[in-house]
Amino acid sequence: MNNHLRTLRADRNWSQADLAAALGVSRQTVNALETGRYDPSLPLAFKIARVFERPIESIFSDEGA
Amino acid sequence: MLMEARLSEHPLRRYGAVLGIGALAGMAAGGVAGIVTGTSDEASIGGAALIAAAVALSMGVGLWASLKWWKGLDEAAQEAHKWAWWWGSTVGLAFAGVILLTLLYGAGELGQAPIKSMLMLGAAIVTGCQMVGYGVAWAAWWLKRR
Repeated sequence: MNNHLRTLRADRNWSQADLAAALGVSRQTVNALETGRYDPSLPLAFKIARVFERPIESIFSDEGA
Repeated sequence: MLMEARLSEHPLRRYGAVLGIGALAGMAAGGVAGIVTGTSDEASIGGAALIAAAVALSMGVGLWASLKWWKGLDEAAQEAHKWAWWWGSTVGLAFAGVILLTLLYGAGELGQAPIKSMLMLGAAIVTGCQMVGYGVAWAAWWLKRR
């Protein structure tokens, strides 16, 4: 699964710790998500979408995964 | 920016607290077992029941602390532990099986040891191998996702 988390976070000038606080997860988890080495559960994916105010499919894609 | 309570805040402190509570509960149960053993010449049903109750209470406290700790982990941290429990402990159990069956064949004089010693040695080998496997697998899961 690919995602645009790093870009979206950078666009907002958030640190990984900022995003982790917004999502209620650890910074290590945010890093694992951004590197694409951990796919979030559906509840976390929806939470990410809410935080970035974007639809899930504009953040995550399975192309090339 | 939406700010939520951090589920994994101070993870090491929380982990240390769980280990500390478990250790205290275990020492309390061990103390009860020691007192019962030290104050009676022969094993009795009453003594066994007292030790069983103390150990069960200690396990309950440990499980309660573990549950509180588990609920505070985020989903990736939980996934790491679940993966480590399955793969690390399973591989550790396989190692323990090799050691136990080899010892069973080649123990020599140790094969005449009291049943209590054999039980404790077996338990130590199995739990030791599983804990090492668990730790290695947990670290590998996170290292792969750095």
